Amino acid sequence: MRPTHTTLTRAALTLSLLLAAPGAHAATIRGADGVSVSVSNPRRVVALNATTVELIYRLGKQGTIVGTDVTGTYPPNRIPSVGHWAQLPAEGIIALKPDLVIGTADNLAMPANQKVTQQLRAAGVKVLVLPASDTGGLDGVRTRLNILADVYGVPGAALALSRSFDTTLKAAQANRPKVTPRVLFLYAHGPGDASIYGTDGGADDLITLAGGRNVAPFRDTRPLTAEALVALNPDAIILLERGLDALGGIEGALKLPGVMQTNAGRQRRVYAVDNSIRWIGPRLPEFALNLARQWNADFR
Amino acid sequence: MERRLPLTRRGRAARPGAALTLTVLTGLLAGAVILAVGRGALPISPAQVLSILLAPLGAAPLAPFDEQQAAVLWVIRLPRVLLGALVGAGLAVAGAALQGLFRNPLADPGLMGITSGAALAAALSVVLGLNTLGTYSLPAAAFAGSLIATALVSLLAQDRGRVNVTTMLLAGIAINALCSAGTGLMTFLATDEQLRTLTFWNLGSLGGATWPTVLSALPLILLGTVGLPLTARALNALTLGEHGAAHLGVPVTRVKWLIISLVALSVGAGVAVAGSIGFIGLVVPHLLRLLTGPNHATLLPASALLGATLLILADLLARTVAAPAEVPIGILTALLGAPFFLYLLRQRRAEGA
Repeated sequence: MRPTHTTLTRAALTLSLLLAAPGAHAATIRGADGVSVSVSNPRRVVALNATTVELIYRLGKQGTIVGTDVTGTYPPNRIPSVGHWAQLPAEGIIALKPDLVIGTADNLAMPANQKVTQQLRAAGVKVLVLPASDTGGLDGVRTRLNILADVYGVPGAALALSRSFDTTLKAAQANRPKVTPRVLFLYAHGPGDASIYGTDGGADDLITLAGGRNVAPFRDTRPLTAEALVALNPDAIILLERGLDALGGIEGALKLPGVMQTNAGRQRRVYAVDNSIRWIGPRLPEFALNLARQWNADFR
Repeated sequence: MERRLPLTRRGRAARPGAALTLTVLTGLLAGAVILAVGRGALPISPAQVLSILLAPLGAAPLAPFDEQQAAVLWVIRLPRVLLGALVGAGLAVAGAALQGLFRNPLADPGLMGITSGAALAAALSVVLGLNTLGTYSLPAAAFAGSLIATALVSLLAQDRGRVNVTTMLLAGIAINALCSAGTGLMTFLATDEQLRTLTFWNLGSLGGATWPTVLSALPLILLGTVGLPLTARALNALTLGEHGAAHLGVPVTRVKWLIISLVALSVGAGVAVAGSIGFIGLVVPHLLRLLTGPNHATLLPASALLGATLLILADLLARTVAAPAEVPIGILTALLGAPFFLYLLRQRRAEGA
């Protein structure tokens, strides 16, 4: 879009938002499970999944969130948690008296949760299912962002956020390393217990956006073997922040069997990224930019 | 470890009569149901509960309630409490029958491979993505697994048409080891999400209770809960040993097969709908034997009643103690059951048993 056009659109949007009386917003939104939900100014929302919480914050509607699951910790908040995302409690969610429950298709598809969605709906609670948050990359984030903007009637905020993604992504592209590093993402819980994130999901999107190449030869998550690590011989290793902490920092990571026999280990090229990376959220461009900058400095 | 007959026990007050025990336990169960139906993450007062329950009959409400409270009570809480009662009764009565059959107070449904067979089948269905039955795929697999493992153990224990109870115990241990290895292999192959599903299944939960779930488990568990007490006379005779029982006219082999089948059905159905919930089948019969003595005619129905009561209460705790979150019920039954079991053991030693 041309700049003038943009200004016009923005002005029109602002005007329409100003004209819209509070309480007037209403919409019918089709969820990823095919079930349509009619919403009008939700005031009490249970937002399941880290990225749902984060997106609602970015839309400036954090005041409506009355509950989340264990993953909804960013931005730092005191929202009550209904427990683990793999097993949600129907009555615990209802007890928060939500007028809308927003979940993501990946988490609600967990076997224990499939019944929960049925139970909630049978109890008259609206459940909006967003597309999966563990695949689809940044396009998926935009889709979920737009749906949430519909829910709250704030298309302007979504548009602004979507633009900021573009800006940050461009910066990440400009900062890509000169030489494409061959990267492996290790999912470690502590010494002697690590797996490799495969070529699907948020970790892979992050590597690509930051200008690297994921060398994991499979999808999903597989246990790490020292020999496989040496054979794959990555130039860079990424860990979750809490994984790196659990290993005892870079020194600990270098002691994982096989790491010192890789280029990454010999050059001490171990990088840490945010813990929430498996759920692809609105900070993906920022994470990519950070990583691109570090790689740009390290791979010439 | 054999329990002594009541006559030889010293220094113990006269036991309450069977009728009294069963009446008191029925009262306790009713109390637990009322308590559990009225309490939960969403507050519903006793008057509201009564009003909601009577509303379909056209009774005037005693207290005003909103739609959502009514929906939660009918759709979530009632089936959950009922499922808790069914599963608890099934596990406890099966435990009591197995302890009688094995003449071993340590026997419990886990020993015959029922739980580990279910766990292996559940793991297989999750990891291999067997989804033909939709939401019921995992429970159906668990049920099938428990039946197959039990059948295998029983067949391995067959000796010329008779079931050798000692061999069955050993076969159970072997099948348990085999199933654990299989489950281990599945967890090794599982993705992160699948692993979490398996973990939570292993911790047990009544959270998935819906009316269809309750109805699917009801006939099978009821079969065990009503059927097993009918074998009480035979189980009493079996305390004299198999030969003794046979001399008393008990068709020993047939009774053994009947008990094994009923146990497998009721425990398998329970495990299928609620995951693996430990200690109910072990602790409840023990506790009752201290209270009412070893007569199976009382012990079996009493176990069903107390098992139902305890699981309802454990589930009440599970869903209220960390509200709005829920604690997996298997954690609670083990956390409360294990220390209590140790206490019972100490108590028996102090008695000089």
